[in-house]
Amino acid sequence: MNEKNAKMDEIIENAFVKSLRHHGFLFPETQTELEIVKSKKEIEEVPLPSELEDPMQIIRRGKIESISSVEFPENSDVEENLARAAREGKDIPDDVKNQMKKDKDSSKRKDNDENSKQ
Amino acid sequence: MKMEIEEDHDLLVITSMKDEPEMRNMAFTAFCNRYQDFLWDVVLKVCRKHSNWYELSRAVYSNTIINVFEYAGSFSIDPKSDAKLIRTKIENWLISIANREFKNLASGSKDPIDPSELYDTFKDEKAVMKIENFMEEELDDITFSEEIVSKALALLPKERDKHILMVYFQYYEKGKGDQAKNLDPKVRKELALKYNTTEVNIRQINSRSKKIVIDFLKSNYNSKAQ
Repeated sequence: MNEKNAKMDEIIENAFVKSLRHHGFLFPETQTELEIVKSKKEIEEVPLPSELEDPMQIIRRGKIESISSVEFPENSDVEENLARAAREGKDIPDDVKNQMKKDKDSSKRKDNDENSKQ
Repeated sequence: MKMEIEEDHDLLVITSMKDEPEMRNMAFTAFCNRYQDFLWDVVLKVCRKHSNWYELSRAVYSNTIINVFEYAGSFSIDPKSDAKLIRTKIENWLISIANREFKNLASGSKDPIDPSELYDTFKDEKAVMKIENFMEEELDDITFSEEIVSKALALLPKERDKHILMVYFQYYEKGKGDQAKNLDPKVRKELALKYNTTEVNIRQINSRSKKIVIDFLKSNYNSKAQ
């Protein structure tokens, strides 16, 4: 690759990283990027899960080291979050519901696998 | 007992007082009540563009809150600043913490938080602009549309390849020369473990994926760049 091409690639790469932050694929790192992300309207609103409403409960549960180790109490199941959204009059589309359930099932499966290995 | 303090910054000061547990917990809860909607909104918007987004969002949010509790004292600002500026700085601080947690969770890295770094990780916009102007004055405002970004990422054949490339971009720092061209060795090692492959292979996947994306963007550069 000649020097001109390499420089062009670098410029494109820099622009791409900036675009990733502008469009919220990565966390914003400047005030302008943050304002852009804040101003974006989500097509489907997903409420804060009930198990995350009480910060002291989050402290008691402790830090999550990897996504597969996520454990949330049984009474804060996906169904409860969906029910709460319904009570608040928020309509959660099927694809969002499916993703919530998929994540939850995947987390449970991984936990079961890890437990069976121990 | 009800928390009567008005200023957000004061709530953080009290949250840092570990020898006053009752006051600390109340101040922390009051602080979280004020910022939870903002934090969840931004965390969710970013995480939704990644696989396992719901689980990832909850983990990033939880860990950010825990860091606020642990490192509330690392936030500092002139208390005479107006409320709007204080809120902006606190938002920046929260997003800096969330960004670090997001990187760790997405890459599998166990990089510990250094509280002294938390406040300064949001970049000084003027300094960023200066570097950009110096490097390529005429290109400093170029960004690709969301549609182009999505299409470029969709060209990658496997979710694994997309994930590795996104982790690379999370750690990418403009203007760092060759250092910016490589994944952090610690992160590369974690990815190799995650995907049960070698670090050399991770480097190759990253390089191949980047070429696919860059080639696509080049072909759209003139017509679609905004």
